[in-house]
Amino acid sequence: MTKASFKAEVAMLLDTESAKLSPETVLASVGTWDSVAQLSFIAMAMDHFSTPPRPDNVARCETYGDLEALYDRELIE
Amino acid sequence: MIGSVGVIAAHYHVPAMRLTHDELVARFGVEKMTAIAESSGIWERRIAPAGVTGADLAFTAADEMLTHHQIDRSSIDYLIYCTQTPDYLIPTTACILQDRLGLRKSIGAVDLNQGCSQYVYGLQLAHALVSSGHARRILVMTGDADTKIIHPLDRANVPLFGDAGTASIVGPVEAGAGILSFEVGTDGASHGLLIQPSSGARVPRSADTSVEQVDKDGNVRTAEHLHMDGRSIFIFGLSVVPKLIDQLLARTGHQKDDVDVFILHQANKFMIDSILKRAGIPLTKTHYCLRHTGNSGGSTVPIAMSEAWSAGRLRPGSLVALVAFGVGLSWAATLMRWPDQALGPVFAKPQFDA
Repeated sequence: MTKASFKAEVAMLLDTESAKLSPETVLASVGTWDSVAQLSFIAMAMDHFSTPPRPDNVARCETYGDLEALYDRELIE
Repeated sequence: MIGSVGVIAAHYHVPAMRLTHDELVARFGVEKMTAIAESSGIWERRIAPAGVTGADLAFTAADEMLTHHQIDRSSIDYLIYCTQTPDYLIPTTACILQDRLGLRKSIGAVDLNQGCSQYVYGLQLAHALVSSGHARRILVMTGDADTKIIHPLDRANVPLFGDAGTASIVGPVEAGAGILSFEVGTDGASHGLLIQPSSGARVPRSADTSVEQVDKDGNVRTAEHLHMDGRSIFIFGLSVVPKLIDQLLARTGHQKDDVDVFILHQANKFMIDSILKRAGIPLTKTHYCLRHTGNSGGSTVPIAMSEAWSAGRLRPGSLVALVAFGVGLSWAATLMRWPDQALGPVFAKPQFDA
């Protein structure tokens, strides 16, 4: 998965635009980052990556950069 | 094909008492509860009042079904009661139900301690008993009042769970119909993801187990209440259930398109939809029943099946997959050809919209 499409997926589940997401963007500041959004993220990740994220790691994410870091090794430019 | 044994009758009962969305909003706040309701598809739940147990709900379902279809109670020769909230650990609740329902003393009656997958496990054991000639007509009941083991300030679980009981009759059906295959699985290593820690001999109840604790999400629980790691259970469902469906269908060489209705455990709508999407099954092929009833554990599959039957989605010849998963962790699925000999739904129309 490319970084751009990953960003687009995250933007969609936050109901925002990709352009508004940078590594420093606080997720809660651009959308609702609650348990439902976290489940949506997990479902998206399971569709695109070989392993699901660790739930605690997802829950700890505060910024877009935190989310991207979960799959840093699998995301391509 | 295993044999010609199938479900010939099914019914359910939910208590009249409701826990509404407005009540939850007053308890936990509008934003959180509305988000959960929109995602889960659950806007109210049925709650067993004080003194009413899962066995009472299952009893009513069975009694109404037997009466409605004028089934000779002496024809029942085995009772399997599936529950994780029995009236007692000792004695077996099924024994009490044998007496309450006026069934013969010369029958077997056992409790099956299994969670959300209990109904399919109950069907599998019933199928085995009938196929092997040890019984001919089996009453499979499910009943749980899980809301009694959920802390009232557990804002993750309270919005999801409700109480219910069901009853089905499993017996011989015409050749080629009935239960075609089963697929089951177990992952005991993950048992702690969905657990009532102090509920048996491992962690005896004490002053310590009744101490309230608040988790990082703000949920209040004691060790005597149900604990669920919702995110991990979600991953479990998405990981296991699509493969479970594939394996089930592979046993009989059927394709997903061949199946008329997939009845999934009604954990919550988001999870059901995510599983179906991942399995490549159109949402139109399932039947929901959770908006007004919530997740009643192992009763959700027979309730949704009964509602689909009342809605006319199950007809003789229909190919139906029941797919359940949860506590254990465990999972189970069965593929059934709806038999001509099925007695018809007790409710002429569905009682709930999806």
